[in-house]
Amino acid sequence: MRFRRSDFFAFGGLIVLLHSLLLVGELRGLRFRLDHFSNVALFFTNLYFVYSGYVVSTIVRKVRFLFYPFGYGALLFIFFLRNPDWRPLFFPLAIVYCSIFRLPAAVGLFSIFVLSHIFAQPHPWAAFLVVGSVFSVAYIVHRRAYGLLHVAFMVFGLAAFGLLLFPIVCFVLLDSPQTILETFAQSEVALAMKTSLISATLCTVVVLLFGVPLAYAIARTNFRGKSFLETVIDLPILIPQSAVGVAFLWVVGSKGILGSVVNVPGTLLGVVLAQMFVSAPFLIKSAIASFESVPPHLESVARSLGAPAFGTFWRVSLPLAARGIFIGCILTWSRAISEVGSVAILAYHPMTASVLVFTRSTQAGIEQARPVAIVLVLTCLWVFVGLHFVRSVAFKKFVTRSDQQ
Amino acid sequence: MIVFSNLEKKLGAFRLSIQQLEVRRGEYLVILGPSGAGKTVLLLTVAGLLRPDAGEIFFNGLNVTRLAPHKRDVGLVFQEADLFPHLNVVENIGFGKKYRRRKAKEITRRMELLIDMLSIRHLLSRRIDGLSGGEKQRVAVARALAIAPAIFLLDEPLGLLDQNTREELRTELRKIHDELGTTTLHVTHDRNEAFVVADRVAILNEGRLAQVGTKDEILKRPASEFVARFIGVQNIFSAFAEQDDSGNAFLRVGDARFRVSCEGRGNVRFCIAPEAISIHREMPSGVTPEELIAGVVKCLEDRGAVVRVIVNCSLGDAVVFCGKREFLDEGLSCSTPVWLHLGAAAIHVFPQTDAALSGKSQ
Repeated sequence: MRFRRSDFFAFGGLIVLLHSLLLVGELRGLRFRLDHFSNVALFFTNLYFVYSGYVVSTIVRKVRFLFYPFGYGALLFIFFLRNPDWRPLFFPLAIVYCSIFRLPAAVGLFSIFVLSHIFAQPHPWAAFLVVGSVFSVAYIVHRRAYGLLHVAFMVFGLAAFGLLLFPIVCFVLLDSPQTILETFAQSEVALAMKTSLISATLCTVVVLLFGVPLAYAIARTNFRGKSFLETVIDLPILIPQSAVGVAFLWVVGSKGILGSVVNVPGTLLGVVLAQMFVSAPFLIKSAIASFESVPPHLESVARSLGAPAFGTFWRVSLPLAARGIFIGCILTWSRAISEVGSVAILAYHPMTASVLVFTRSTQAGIEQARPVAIVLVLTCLWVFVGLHFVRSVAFKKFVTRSDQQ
Repeated sequence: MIVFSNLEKKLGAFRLSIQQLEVRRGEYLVILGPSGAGKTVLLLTVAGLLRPDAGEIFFNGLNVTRLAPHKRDVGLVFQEADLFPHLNVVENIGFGKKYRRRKAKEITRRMELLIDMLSIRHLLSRRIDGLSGGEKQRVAVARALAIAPAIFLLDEPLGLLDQNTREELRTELRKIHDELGTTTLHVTHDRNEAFVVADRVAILNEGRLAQVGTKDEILKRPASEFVARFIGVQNIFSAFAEQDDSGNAFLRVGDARFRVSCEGRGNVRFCIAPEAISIHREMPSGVTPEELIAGVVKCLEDRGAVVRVIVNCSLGDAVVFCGKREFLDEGLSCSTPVWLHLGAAAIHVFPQTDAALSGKSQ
């Protein structure tokens, strides 16, 4: 976009005009007065409004462009002139408005957001969620990108899911970093975090070592009872955690039937065992699905090129299934670190962070448990985000079958 | 080179049964058959990816029936190319190098040769998902041949390509075979493809060999009605075979009688090429009246230089190709009564009936 000199004059003229109108209003002793800060801020907001209007005018159609000053005027009236208390809100809102004006959907959501905060007190967020969802559905259907059913399912599903996640978001955001750092400094918490991270990682590695070969074998064979075997692999997900803890205790506890050989309570091994039991199915299932999606023909070709069975597995099947297996690892790791019930029963010590949160919430109360919980959630989130980043960088998605054919 | 002996493989209700088949060294053999004929099963058995229930396979006199696929020294190309998506083009072509350390230098040289022959040099560093169907198949061919296999196996390699690419690539396959001389087994259901590339064609039906032979042998003397129909022969009719006192064999159709060389007696099926039938408005002079059959023109299809005429006669519906000039001279139109003259030399009586096929094939 090129500027001509006349554009600058037009800019300057408009800003001066706009601003002097407001100032004149002030000088005439109308209902409001401008302090120095608001004056300057207003000037720059106006400047941005005019500049952004110039940009927008080159992009959007004329009729829609007429709404641009109209919306700005409405914001100005509601937040600046009518309610002097809301003045600080005006500046960010105006800047957001100017920036997003060329995106109709964004402007729609923005207006719903503003209006719900003005008219739908005391539940502005709920109102925004509902009206915004309806608006999104209507908009997308209007644009005919997707059918009504898919869009409605998607939007309402996401809205409900957003409500579920809402406590976690508030939880993490509404505590000062100071408290979190202090919590981390407590030796008990630091130790518990360390135990959690080590045990979950150890658990994932062990499951990886036996789960991947098992999954490959299951994916590449077909025998009577295969579906039964797959159900058995799912079983740990379905058994109540406390029952798992008791069962393990009965077998490998200090008085268990194998207690004289292996004695796990109070050891890291106990923690890992309990975690493995509940988390292994995730990795195995995910690995089976990944191996099944590798076309057997690829393996046949590799064999014909001289690769022995293991070489084929190592050089063809495993790299192609790696992405799915890695996702399985993330799931397993997350499930392991969050496990409380069976771990607390089988190996209360060394205490993991999840068990610590549980213990504190029952014994010392929610206020004591909260900072630990936040630390745990934050750590998991960072690891989760980090692992997904690693996945997107290191494990590419391969098109193993050409779908268009 | 490859010898199959009493090979049996059962897969569900399907049964592959090859009594005897020999592929000669350096030969390009096409296995042709309708879908479900067991072509792919046969190929996978050669590759060692399926183990036969009974019988033996020999490579150069060596029994390989129980040899693992990676020790067989075969190059394999499937219909969908099946390139390794996590490797780029040159890594795909060089995949087999790792397992042939002693031949590494030779393989590198061969790779260069193949890359030039298939003109894929510009693709070498490309990722697989960006390639077109034809390019993928070229890379797959290069990958399979780079290891200098003793046997080259192609399973419907051109099946998913568009018409132009298919014709281009099949010419190249033949050219590559002529230069490298690798014994090749090529599976297809496309008879044109088969007759263009093959030295010999083996026709497979319902798990059994229906005929093995060169293009001419099969086109001129199909072993059975199935083969004839499958390779597109249109004029297939019934007749009654008999012999006169001096031992000459005749085919009788209604009043017409044709001198043929065939041994059987009784009801037989025979075929005749459309070009060997001539069509006349008036009863032609100078031919044996016994070789004439009366009929009525059923429909006409103008194909430019020739006209395809379908004549309804005592044989059934006979397809005749008639030159444009003769057509105009004769003044043919629908429902015209005509005389057909069948060149007795072009009549081929099927030596086997399809029911008798099972048991003794070549």
